[in-house]
Amino acid sequence: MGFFIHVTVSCGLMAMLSLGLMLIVRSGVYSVASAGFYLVGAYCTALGTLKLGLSPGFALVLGAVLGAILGIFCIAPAYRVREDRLLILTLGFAESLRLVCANSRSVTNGAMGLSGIPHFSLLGVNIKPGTIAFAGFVWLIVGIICLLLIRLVKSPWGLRIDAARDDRVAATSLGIQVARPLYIVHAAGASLAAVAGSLYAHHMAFVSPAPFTVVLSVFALCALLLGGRGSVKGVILGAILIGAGLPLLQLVGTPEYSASAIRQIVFGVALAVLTIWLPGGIGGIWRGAKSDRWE
Amino acid sequence: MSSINKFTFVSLSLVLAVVFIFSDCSRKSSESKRIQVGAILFETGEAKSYGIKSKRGYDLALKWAKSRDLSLIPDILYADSGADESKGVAEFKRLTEVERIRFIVGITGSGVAMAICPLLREKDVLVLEALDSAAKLTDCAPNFFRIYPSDVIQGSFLADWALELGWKRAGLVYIHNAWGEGMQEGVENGFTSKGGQILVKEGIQQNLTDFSSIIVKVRAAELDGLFLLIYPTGARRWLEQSTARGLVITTLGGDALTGTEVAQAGEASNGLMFSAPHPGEGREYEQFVEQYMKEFGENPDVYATKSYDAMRLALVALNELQSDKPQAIKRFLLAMDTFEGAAGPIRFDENGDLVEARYARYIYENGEAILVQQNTEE
Amino acid sequence: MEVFLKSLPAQIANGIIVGAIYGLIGLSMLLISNVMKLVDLLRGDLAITGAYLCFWLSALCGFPFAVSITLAVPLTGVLGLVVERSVYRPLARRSHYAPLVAALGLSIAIQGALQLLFGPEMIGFEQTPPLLPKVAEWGLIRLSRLDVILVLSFVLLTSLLHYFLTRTRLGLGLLAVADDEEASYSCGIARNKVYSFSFFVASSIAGIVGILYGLQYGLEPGAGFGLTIRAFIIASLAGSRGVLGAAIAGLALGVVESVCTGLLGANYRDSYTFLVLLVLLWIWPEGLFGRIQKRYARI
Repeated sequence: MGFFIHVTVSCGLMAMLSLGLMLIVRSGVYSVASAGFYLVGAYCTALGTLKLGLSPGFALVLGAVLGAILGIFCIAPAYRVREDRLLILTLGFAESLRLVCANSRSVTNGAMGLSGIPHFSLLGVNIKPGTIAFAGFVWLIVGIICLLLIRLVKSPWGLRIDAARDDRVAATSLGIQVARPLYIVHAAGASLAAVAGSLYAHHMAFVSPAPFTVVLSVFALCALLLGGRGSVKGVILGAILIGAGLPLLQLVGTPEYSASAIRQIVFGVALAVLTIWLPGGIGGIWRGAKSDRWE
Repeated sequence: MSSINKFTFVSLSLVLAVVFIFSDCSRKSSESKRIQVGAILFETGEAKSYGIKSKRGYDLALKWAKSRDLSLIPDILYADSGADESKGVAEFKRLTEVERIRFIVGITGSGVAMAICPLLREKDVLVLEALDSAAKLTDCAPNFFRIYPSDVIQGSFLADWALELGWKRAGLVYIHNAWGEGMQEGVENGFTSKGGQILVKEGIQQNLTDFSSIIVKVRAAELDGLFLLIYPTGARRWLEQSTARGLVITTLGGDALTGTEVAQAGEASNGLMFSAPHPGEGREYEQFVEQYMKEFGENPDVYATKSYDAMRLALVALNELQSDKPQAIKRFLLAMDTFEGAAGPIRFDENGDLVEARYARYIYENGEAILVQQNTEE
Repeated sequence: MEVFLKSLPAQIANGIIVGAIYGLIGLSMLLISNVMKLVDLLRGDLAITGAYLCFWLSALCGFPFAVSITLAVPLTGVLGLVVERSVYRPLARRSHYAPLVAALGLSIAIQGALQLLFGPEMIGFEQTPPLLPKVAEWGLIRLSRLDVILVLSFVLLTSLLHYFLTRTRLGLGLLAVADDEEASYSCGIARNKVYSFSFFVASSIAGIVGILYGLQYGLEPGAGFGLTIRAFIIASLAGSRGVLGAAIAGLALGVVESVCTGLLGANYRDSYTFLVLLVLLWIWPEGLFGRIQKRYARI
């Protein structure tokens, strides 16, 4: 049972990352900086609760705000940089964040990490990690984010973002502001990732820079692309697949390294096969899609 | 494949996955009440050899238990920390929350153990550690015991050795984790307080592959000697690249250099010296060496010996108490009179640390670590 | 500080040696990213696989080293070809980023396979120790035979590639496709053949890089990713401006890493790469050689 909760929470956090990324990708930027903002949220919570004595809720909000600010910083060079450079820019940004945390021994305890993060509590209610309540809370937030996203996508504001993505020049000529929505969208996506990071810190009660690698960002992007860029349902399913894939495979066989190697192979091949097999992503299955559309 | 087929396939697989999870849950609860003991070791990563040696020690300990007809022989559930603190914490949570293990013999990696301490304080789990040496682990948790001497002693031991060798200007390369940083503090304090100077100090991240910049710096500084406080695979790379870059300098390392990866550097490793706990002596030790030689065809190192002792002690405790209740084991360990381990006598102080600790000097010759001189007892 | 200044020439020399490897893997990535317009996450892993292949042939199968290299390099090329045909080509049609997902999956799978077949520990070539004795020494700079081989291979491969791309028909076809796919198609250039060929060449180069890397640093299943990141950075910096651009970017990256490590400490070693990248992208959004249009070959 404990393992099932752990997997559920992992999937929920991955879903949050992917949904945040969905917003960012919708504006045309394929960002691999998710892990960086994830890290910001996690360290904000860790440092806030351990060193500054903040309440977990406040630390979470602080993390979200910090994530938003850093999100804007990340995307700021976007106009100077050519489009195919954006990927490497986001990569560099996220890695720099990680390396800063890994190297400031006095503030973040460097590679050794911060342990003993207190339980998450909201309005006096203590939500202990490892319980169904915590898993439920995580998915509640995922649900709220989904609702907000679906409403946003269909709103006039969402249409403006689509226009800016499809053809920047045409959009500008129609009088649609292109810059501000880009910043807001990026900030929002980064915030969501930071919120996920805060919850991660409470879930594990320990943060170190090690898990927040580029690979994690690419996983979030994979969950998004696998699920279909335009479909919220699909993204959630994609996140579940990826977030649950490796831990689920852990149920098979012993934890010796040879078995873990086999798990890796199975997971990797499954990922590649699924990508080829599902052109519209998982969300596309319902449509019988032959390609990945923005719906 | 039509869209309907794809849809049913995906839904079916999801349903199967859910079924799988729940069936695993029921499987666990219906299993017989076999006592299980956990072990978090270095199975991958820079110091993988520790994990191999620990397992060998554990296997021989189990054999010893069977030969004495001990009734309670537990299953050992292994987990890999890979020298990564996050991974170690995740595995600790898995072992204690999912597998419901209450007794863990071995959490390798001082960094991993340090990360687990706050979690350990909240759980009813007992940890008996064989290999971690970080000084800060003394205050880890009430339920944390270790039979490996603390680095508080090792740092000054190394510093004194260096001063004996006549070093005045030294360099220090260390790894950024709980072990490396603890060693660096201990060595630096011990060395500088007695007149030595550390002119080049470099902290590295784990898994660094290119040491050439540091090697050049050390060469340029013209030092008497170098403290190499890093993990075995890094040390191997350091030795190989030093040869390529023309660095010849007396090098002293910490106990991490016991790892067999160092010997794989071949000729480059000749003359490398390091400190490690005393291997042990006496009847228990000789019997162990004999068994180990018979089983594995080589002499055991400190890691294998300490792991053997830890598991034996655990088995003795389990059989005395006929249960794995953490509080009972804790009382047993604290009240215990000296346990004759192969690596030396074991008795715990109120912090769960060893009361007696001895360090020894080693040197690499022809790919093997050879004991040089015995330390006097603390 | 004087220690740093004294060691500076040696740091630069070391940087050039490291940069040679970076430059070559950057070239490999550049070929793919410009011709096929996709980001290949597998560069580094292919390189390491090639090296493991060579190790397997020479150490475990007993072939002489020269034979192992001659076999391993084209085999890596073929491996890359297989990946391209079966995975990238169907996906590249759909979008620029779908191959990324599949590539990640394959990268994980390849690392798992290597760990399964060869174990997770570091493997050294036995050919390394004989290559370590020095060839030349000036002050603190010390070149071993391996270093010389590295730099020579780098120079040789770069020039060969440059020559190939600008003087041979096949190479010019590659450049044409990189420049404008539609136009070259209408000129009768077989696009698929070009894709396959560029992948083969790029993967063979990756194989060579892997072997050189393995000789210098030793092999681990996870070593590929670091190479991939650096390849990506160099290909981005070099932009669409050529083989020489990538070569210089690679050397520059190596030197910056080395010198910064010497000056500021080995702690932040990876950070320097990214710092440089961020700074350069801010100042030169078009890549290092955006302005220099006419002189270098465009690929």
